[in-house]
Amino acid sequence: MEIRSLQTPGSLNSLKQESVRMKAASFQGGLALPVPDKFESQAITTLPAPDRVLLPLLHHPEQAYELQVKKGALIKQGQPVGEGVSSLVLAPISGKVEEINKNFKLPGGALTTAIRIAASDEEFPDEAPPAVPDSGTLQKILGTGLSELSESPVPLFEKLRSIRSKRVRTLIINCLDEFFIQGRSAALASQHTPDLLAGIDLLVQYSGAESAVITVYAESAQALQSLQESGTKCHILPVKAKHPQHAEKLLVTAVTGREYDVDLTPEDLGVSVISAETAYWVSRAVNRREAALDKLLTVAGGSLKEPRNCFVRIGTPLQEVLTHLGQDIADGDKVILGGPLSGQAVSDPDTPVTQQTHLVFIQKKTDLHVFSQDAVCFKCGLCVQICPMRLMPFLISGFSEGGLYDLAEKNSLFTCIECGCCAYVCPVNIPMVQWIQLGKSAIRAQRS
Amino acid sequence: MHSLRLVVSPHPHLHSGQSLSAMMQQIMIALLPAVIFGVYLFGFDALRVIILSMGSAVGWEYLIRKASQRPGRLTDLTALTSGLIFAMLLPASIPWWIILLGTLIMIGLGKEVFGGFGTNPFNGVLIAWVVLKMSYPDFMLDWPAIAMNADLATTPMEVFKTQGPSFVQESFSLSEMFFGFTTGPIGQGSAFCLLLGGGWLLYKRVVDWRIPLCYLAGVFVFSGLFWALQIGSGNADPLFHLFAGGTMLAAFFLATDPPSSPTTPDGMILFGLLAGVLTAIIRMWGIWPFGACYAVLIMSMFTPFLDKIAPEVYGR
Repeated sequence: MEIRSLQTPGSLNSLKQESVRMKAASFQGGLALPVPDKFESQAITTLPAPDRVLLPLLHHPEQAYELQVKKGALIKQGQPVGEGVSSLVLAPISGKVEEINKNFKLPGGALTTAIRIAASDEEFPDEAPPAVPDSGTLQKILGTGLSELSESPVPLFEKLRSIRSKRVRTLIINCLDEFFIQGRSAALASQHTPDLLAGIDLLVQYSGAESAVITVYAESAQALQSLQESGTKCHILPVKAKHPQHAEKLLVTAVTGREYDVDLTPEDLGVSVISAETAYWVSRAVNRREAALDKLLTVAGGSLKEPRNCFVRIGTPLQEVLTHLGQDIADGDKVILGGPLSGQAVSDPDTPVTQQTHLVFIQKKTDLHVFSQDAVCFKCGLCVQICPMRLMPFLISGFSEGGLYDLAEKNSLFTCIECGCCAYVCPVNIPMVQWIQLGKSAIRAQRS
Repeated sequence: MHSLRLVVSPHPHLHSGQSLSAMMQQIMIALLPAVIFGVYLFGFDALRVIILSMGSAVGWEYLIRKASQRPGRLTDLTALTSGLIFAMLLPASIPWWIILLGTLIMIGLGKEVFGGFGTNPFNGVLIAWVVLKMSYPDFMLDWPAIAMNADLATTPMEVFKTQGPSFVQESFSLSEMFFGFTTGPIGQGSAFCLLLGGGWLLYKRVVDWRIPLCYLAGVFVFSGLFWALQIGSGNADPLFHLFAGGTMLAAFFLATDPPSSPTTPDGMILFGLLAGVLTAIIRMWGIWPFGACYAVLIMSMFTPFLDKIAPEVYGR
């Protein structure tokens, strides 16, 4: 059995196992995040709009979009190209519809329709509708094509409606990013504080909630300071920087002190999680009539010494984003959508930036971690100790590997949030998340 | 245009760097003080037993894997480590063929017959030790005399069992037993050396604190209760139970064997406590003085049951 030790960039080596119960808002298990030496994050930059964008019409898995344009059509920036029941897909750039691909494969494997738009100098018809409607907050939010930019994508319009109907009292504004203390949300909180707070006020007002809690990593000094100095009425809750604190379940528990089973939602507990970036775009849409055509993105890893936060036009191929940031990728590298612990590696470097792209992590060929193909669990119990959901990962992974799906499910397979902590600590490198994902999809396939 | 070929794999994309072979290395390093002390006490004979035990363990595993046409697993260092732990339990005077038989049982019957390290329900070291203890009691009790205590070629625990605790007090001082200036198996005499190694394993997080500390607490509290309340006659000082009879070796190196011990935090605590109590019970009322090894072996039969004491799942 060959075990390769992993070389990680300097700052990542400080990732330590955390097993002490914390007094502040936190949870048991999980991994302490690497704390950067320098606490000032770099200014958020805006990357130039690309010449070509690729726009998958699948911002929300449950919404079907009606295509609003034909191949060869000239469209204006901000014009709707797809329309769903409660959200729109807007053209991120002006140009010509070059291609409509009915079988575009998303990184997760799902097929959808995708539109490719090429920038063009041709004259645009005058009758193109304005991006943001004039009347009413709700209409404006609908008109900007905004989604709730968190892990479970929902059209913001729908989310606000359900918050209202379930009489949610507290909004949790999430300023925690996966893995990086100085990620995009922390940068937003420290560099765009007024917009963020104005957006939160609008969200509270519209959703009918009574208050908002902003969760920030306690180690993210700059963001914490900016928020505290702003004099906001929102409650600011510092939480310990641990992976996977950003996950919705652990976030809700950190704020409410309560846990909830798989068949419940945060709304059933009277809270709802909304990402900081959503609040920012709500403020831009309502107060400045700007549509959310950009996506705030953190790019990290590879040769980048610290994470870079930038606004990127939606639909930009990842490769172009990386080139702009001076980050070359070569054969054998890994491009990960999400953090290094729970992100998803993509096969195509031209995968477009979507509303669900929050973090791009680059791993060089020499830094790759290799899982074992034939490892046998020797029951050391490290995964049991690290699991934030207090599961027995080796058991559900082992049952799934052996095809004993009912046993895996009996041991709370579906409570697993796939944070990756178990496989991170596994001394024999069992790809536990892979087996757990296999178990979940096999059970779902059996049921459908 | 040449399209990039990116690597795709399931997450996580980072790893702690911990590995089975590194853990085994740490266990061997942790045994080093006891090994050095054993060689100091028993001389070249001890070294002979250690080398033969480690070498033959590796040899048997290689041959068995080869014969059963499975890929070799020697690089995980489990065979080498169990060979070393096994040698710690043997008298320095043991004949070479008994060592070879012991390691064959340890590797073959204790591990490989179940599929290899990880799937074995019992600690192979203890299986081999029990078989030898039953089959060759004379060889297994043939303790060489040591220079410091030449007139008494028995272990403190045997003296306790056969002649009673008052005789133990006359023959050995507590510090003699703590530092290990008594005869016995190569590596179990010196509580001090084993405590050093055990502390190292806890510091390096190779073993969880729950099993060893709860085991020691179980031995100490149970034997201490009878001693303090003077229930029945013939109770020994609880410190005697901690320092003699291989308690430290069992706590840090035998009870913590991952495959045969529980994985859940509460299971580990219960396993340690019960193994400790059982150790004291066997010593106080059993007919044999080797309570520690038997207690751990018996408790590992309860491991599947103790593993049912799972942590309370989030949100349930």
